[in-house]
Formats: sequence, structure tokens, C-alpha cells
Amino acid sequence: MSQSIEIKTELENKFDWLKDQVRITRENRLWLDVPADKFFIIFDYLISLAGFKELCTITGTDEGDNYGLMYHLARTDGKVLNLKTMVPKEGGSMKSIISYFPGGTIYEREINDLLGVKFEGLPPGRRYPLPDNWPEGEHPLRKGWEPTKLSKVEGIKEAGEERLNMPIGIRSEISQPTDFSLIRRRDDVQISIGPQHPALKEPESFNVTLQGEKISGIEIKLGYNHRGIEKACEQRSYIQDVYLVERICGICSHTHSTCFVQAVEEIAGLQLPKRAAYIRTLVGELERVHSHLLWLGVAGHEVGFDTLLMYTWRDREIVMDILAMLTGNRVNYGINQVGGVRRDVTPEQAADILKAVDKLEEQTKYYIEVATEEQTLIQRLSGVGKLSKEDVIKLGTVGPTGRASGVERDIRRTDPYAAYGELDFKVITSDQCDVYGRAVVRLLELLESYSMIRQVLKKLPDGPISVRAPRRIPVGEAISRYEAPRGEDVHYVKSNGTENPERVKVRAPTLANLQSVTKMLEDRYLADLPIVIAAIDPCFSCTDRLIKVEDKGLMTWEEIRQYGIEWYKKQGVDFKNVKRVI
Amino acid sequence: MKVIDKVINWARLKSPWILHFNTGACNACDIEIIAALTPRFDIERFGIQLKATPRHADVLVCSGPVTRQIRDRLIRIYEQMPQPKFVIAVGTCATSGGVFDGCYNVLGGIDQAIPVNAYIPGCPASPQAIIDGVVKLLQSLEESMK
Repeated sequence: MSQSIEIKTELENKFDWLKDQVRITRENRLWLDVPADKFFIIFDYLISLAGFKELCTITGTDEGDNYGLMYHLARTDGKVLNLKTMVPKEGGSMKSIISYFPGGTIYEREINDLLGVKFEGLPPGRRYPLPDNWPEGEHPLRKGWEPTKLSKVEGIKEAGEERLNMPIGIRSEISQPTDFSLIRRRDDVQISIGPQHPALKEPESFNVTLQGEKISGIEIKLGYNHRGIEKACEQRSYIQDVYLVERICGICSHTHSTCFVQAVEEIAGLQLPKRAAYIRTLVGELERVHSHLLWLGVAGHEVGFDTLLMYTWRDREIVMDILAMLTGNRVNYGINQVGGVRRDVTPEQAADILKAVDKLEEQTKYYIEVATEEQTLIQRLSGVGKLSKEDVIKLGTVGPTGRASGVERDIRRTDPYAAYGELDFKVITSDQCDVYGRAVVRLLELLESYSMIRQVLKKLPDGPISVRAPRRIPVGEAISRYEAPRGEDVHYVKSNGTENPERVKVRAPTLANLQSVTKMLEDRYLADLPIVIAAIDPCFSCTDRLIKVEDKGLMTWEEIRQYGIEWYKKQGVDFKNVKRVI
Repeated sequence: MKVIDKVINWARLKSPWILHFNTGACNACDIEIIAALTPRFDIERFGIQLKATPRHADVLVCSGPVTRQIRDRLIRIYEQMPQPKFVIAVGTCATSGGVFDGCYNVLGGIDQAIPVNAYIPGCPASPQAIIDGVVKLLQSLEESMK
């Protein structure tokens, strides 16, 4: 608390008009409303001098005549400052924060699409996350918006469809119709991957621009999984929402439901029973185990090591059995409720869990041995998808992806929730900065999870597993963070005193990490694409975003040919005797 | 029925090739479908193989509600499959829209876009249920061929 007060006093000393404006709701949470004209003075100060260098997300709200824009800024010590400003609906606009956070444009695009707020200086790009041909002027998150107009809209044609029907490989305008028009195209080679593709387990589409075999540009198109959960949350009660947010993502379902109920409990001022906090932690760690094992198998599959997929998924069934026994379901556990958990852990179950964890630990040690000694795997993964420590900080990469580049960033440590404050664990990092590092970090994290599960079961306090929660949640707002298997998950909940929330905002970890994928793929080969994408452990159900690496200029057909010849020359291939056919 | 047709039908029933497509699911059904393919459940013992392209597939296994953005893709993938083709909707969302019913970007179950042959409810459908659904589909096909 004291540090939060320090920040408050510092702000008040620096800007006297902020006297008594900063609200501190609890340790690590500060709230501040500023008028739009003074917004960037404070924003600049917070980022450059007060150390709030991470942007969790931006929440847009509809508040009568104004739009509310809340910038959630975080510090490495776990403090979150929620800076809010208002933009009038009539003719109002906001300056883009692209110069501070290059990755923040995605959040702005989202608000632009869902709420209709205009951002000055936002570079042109594909809309996100609504479908391509969504009618103009329809913004689903506005209050009172009803999907009636859309009920008759059948499906929606994808933009760029006609381009897809052109010959495979090269799609571009033909500069001048000549006899060699098919050959003398002026463009790079573009390949579109997805939404249905063997390397991708979820629908997302990548438009890759190639120069030779190297990737020069990549455009990620998402929104295939956009279901409109944030709007649906507003239309349902808190009790229903717990189960709805769980279905944001099936792999990290406990993540989203815990993150959501934490925020609701904070608003309602509920004191979570200790036992409930421990059970949440237990399920959370079991979920991490299943997710990391799942990832390891998928990563093996992407590099053609299917044996690893079969092995890890076989062992993953052990933890799935435990989860089914504890919660009643293999996936989408439904164990959380506002005020606690639904099911208790019996001593017999605890004994079974310990037995299973022993078995899993033995298997994990074997995988670590494989990963650290198997030369084929090491050579395939080392040096692929490089991401420097500086880039991690700049792009706001979270979770194991960031930790594999040497950034010690873990919400369980910096901003503890549930029972993590009382557990003893290491934050695993690696200085490899590549896919291999990411694999090692995840494997070693598994061992930490096993140790945490044992600690939870040993320390499990007695007492009730839930407290009674009111159906109507009092007016208030809260932001909750959770270290998902993939990284930091953020939920913002605002209540208006009724049974339904006023606004729920979700920022899934994959969104933060996707921005680094383009960086990792710059100048890499096409063959590395599946494993690099898999290495951030993407979860597009949680996300729906888009980004673009700037194209490095266009190459003519002749230049591509020359480039190819030179590339092979460097590899020692001699073209002297090869006749030019064209 | 010619002998060759009989052989083709026998092969089709003994070894259906599937294509898995996520039409907007939360991933839960998807990981259960993959789980059904891996050693514990090992759906391959029924001759079922996961294929990479719709052009090789007999059965399209869909999970999730149909979102507006994916609808055209789903139809395109369906059209690329050779005849005869079958569709299985895995999970409650794929069956009816489930918890996402009424969401602005969701059209409903898979049958809102393409014809469905078998529904496997569950949130998510467990691998056992998926195997049961596939076997039931094969049984009904066998009977229809008699």
C-alpha cells in the first residue's frame, strides 16, 4: 500500500491539480481520471518517469454522451494505474498512442471497430475484430445496440476473395500486358496460409510475402473466432458470465473464469476463504501442466517429431483424469463461483493427485532429458524465432515467450493472487531468446508446477470453500490479472449495481505475444513459420487480432531471380552451366 | 452393385478419413478431438485418420458455433470435399450455438451453414463421446448401404 501512496503523493506534488484525484482501491491498484486535453501530459510522465512501461490494454466504455477510454498501465512491481479520459461522442477523437506503444494500435483498432471511437494517427490497416463486410456504422459495444439489423445478414463474404482465385503462388497486378505477362510480374511471392491449414489448429489466416524463401512481410488476419463475448457478458448475469468467460478458451478456461471472479469479488468486497484460494491455485497449476504438455506435443508435431506428440499427449491424460476427478469435467472445469469454489478436495483425492504428480514428474524429467540431449531437436529449434530482450520489453511480450528472452515477468510473483503469495517457487527464465529457450522454459516450469501442487496439498487450510455472494454487485470497477499458461491475462469488470455487469473487457495473453511473432519471423525462412507461431503457444480463441510487418519494398521478377541465384551461390551452388531459359 | 463399388464402400466404412475444422470454437472440443487421436483413446484403431486437406477427407469434423467471418470458409471447405461426404458437429456449440446463442457474430450451429450428419453434444464432448458418435455414423452408413 505504501508504495501506491508514494506514487499518489509524487503525482500530486508534480501536478497540483491532481490533488485527491488518485484513488487507491487496494494494494497495487490506482485509478485516475484526467480531462482529455491534459491526458498526454500525465501519460508521458507515467511512462517516462514513473516507470509504468507496460500497457495491459485499453478499455473503451460507452457512457452517455461520451466514450470512456481507460488505459491500464502496469509497472514491473505489479502496480497497475488505470488512467481514464473521456471523449465526446459528437465529433470527438483521441490521439493514437502509437509513438509510445507500437503494439497498442491493436487495442485502438478494436475500440474503433466495436465502439466507434476515432483515433488520430492510427495507420491504415485491416479492421479488427469484426468480419470484413460488417455494415459501416454498426458498433456492437454501444449501449442500446441490438443485433436486429444483422439477423437477416447471412454470412459475410471475405474481402480479397477474388485475389484468392488467381494462380497459386504469385498474386499481383500485372504491370503491363505483354507477351510475357505471366513472367514479368512485378511483385513478391505471396502465400496465404489458413484459416484451414495442417499446421494451424485454429482458424487464423497468414498472408506471407516471400523473397526467395525468406519472409519479408507477414499479415495476420484474425477474427474468425470472434464471437462477441464481451457484449454477451453485458447481457447475462454475473453467475452466467462465470461460465461464459470460461468458454473464451477451452485450454485456459480456469484462467479466464478465475480472472473474472477475482475482479467481481474485488468490486463486491468479498473476502475469499483461504481454502478456496488454495483450490483455485491447485486447479490453476494442474491446468498449466496440461497446457504445457499439450504445447510440447504440438511443438513436436510442428517440427515433424510426432512421437513426442503421442508421448506427451499420453501423459497429459494423467492430469486430465485428475482434473476430471477434482472438478467433474476434463475441460471447462466450472469450479469457480463468485465468492469461492464449487467443489472441495477430499483427502483421498489429494492422495491420488500426489501419486499422479509423481508419475508426471518422472515423465517430465525424461522429456527434459530428450530436449537437452537430442541433437536433432536442439538443432531444429536453436536460433529459430529470435527475440531479443529489448524487443520483449518494447513489444510487451508476456509469459514463457518473454521469460525465454531473459525477462523475469510473472504475475504470480509480481502481483500475487489466490495463494501464490504463500507458495515457494522459482520464475524460470532463459537467455536463449529462441524457440529452444521457450521449450526449455516450459519444461522447467512444469517441475515448478509439480512442486507448487505438492505445497498446496500440504498447506491446504481448513475452512469453508465459499462465501455467500450477492446477486447484485455494487457499483464499482476492478482490474484483475492472472498468469495464464501463455502469459498475463487481464480482465476489467465494471458494475452498475444490477445483476448484469456494465462492461467486461478481456485481454488474452496471445494478443500481447502475437505482436512479437512478426518480429521473430523477420528474415526467417518459410519453413520456420509453423514452429515459430506454435512457440508462443497461440490461442486464437482468446484473441482475434491483426498486425502487419512493413513490406521491404517490391522486387521485380528479375530481381527475385537474381536474389535466388546469389543466395544459392553463397551456399556453394554453381550456376555457370545452367542456361537461361526465359 | 458392382464389385468395385462394394470394395469402395467397404474401404470407406473401414477407414474413413477425417478433416478437423474449428469454426469458432473455444478450443475445448478441438483438444478433445486431438485427444481422441492420441494413444489413450486412439481413434485410429477404427481406421480413422486425420487428413490435412479437405480433398482427401470423407468426414468433416467441425467444432464450435459458426461465426459470420468463418461461414464462407466452412462452405468452401465443404465444397472441396469429394462425394460422398459427411459432417459431424462436435460439441454443444456446433450443435446449436450453445452458450454463444444470441451473440451478434454467431450464426448458430454448423447446420446453419452446411448439412450435418451427426451431432455430438457435450461441453466439451469427451473423446469417448466423439468415438461413439463416429462409430454411430459409420453404423448408420453401413445400414443405408445394405
